[in-house]
Amino acid sequence: MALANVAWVLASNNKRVLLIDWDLEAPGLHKYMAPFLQDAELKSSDGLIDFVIDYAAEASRRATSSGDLQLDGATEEPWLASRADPLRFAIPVMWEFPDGGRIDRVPSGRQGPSYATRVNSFEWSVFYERLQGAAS
Amino acid sequence: MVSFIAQEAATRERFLSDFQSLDDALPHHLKDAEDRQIVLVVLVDPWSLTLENYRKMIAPCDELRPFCAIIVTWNAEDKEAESSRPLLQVVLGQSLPRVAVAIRHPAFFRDSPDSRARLQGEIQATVTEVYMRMLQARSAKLGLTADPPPSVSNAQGVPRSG
Repeated sequence: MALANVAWVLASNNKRVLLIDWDLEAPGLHKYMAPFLQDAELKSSDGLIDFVIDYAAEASRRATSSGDLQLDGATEEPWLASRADPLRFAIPVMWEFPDGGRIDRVPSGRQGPSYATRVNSFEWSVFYERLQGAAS
Repeated sequence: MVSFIAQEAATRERFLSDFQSLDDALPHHLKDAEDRQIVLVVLVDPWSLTLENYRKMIAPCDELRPFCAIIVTWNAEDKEAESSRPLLQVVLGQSLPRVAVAIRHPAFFRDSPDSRARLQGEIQATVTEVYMRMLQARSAKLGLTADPPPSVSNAQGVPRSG
């Protein structure tokens, strides 16, 4: 709740705010913004877990047979530019803040029968250590 | 009807789907799915397994494959099916002895859905589970393994008392 309130205060003071719900095990950030969201229950809104799975799937497809993902000099490759951009999953909060302020939100992920599987099956250590998942 | 439910479930999980009826081409579909890394979910009507032809056709599915899972569809509103369920379970076990009886792991085999909503949910969960399993298999094949995450409790492996 504190995070949602801070975001709201910042947006009310002309700031552009991006909220990312990293609490994958118990996502709840969307609940505080529910009156201002089109998909308040996250039934059709992809989010963070979908973003990392999408990236990992493409990165592992491009990894060499030695198991390394080579990104040297490849940072401008179209696939990386698109797959590594979480703003693809940003959803605006429907409220008109003064003077350009706004809140965008990347939810935890689409809720439904497969959400727990996506969260529990994702190999974070491979993502960070072998697929260049960490920001540099 | 089941094909529509399956296609809706796949769409909700952001997959493109293709429906194939069961015929002699099943081994080809299995090979194609393996080669092209396609998620394959086999939906089984237990009544069909009372026919020998279908039992023979479904037999190639009775193996553990990372890209494949089986879901048996029941209809709780069908009184005849409900009353015949014990018999159909026997036929099911005879048709898929490894997957449905010996292993019977939800990652590869499910036979709980008995309504449209539950079936759709099971298909959604299964499609994603198989997909995640394929990603893990791909990582393992490439040697993309990393150290396991550190344990935050009982790091010394001391047996719990009580």
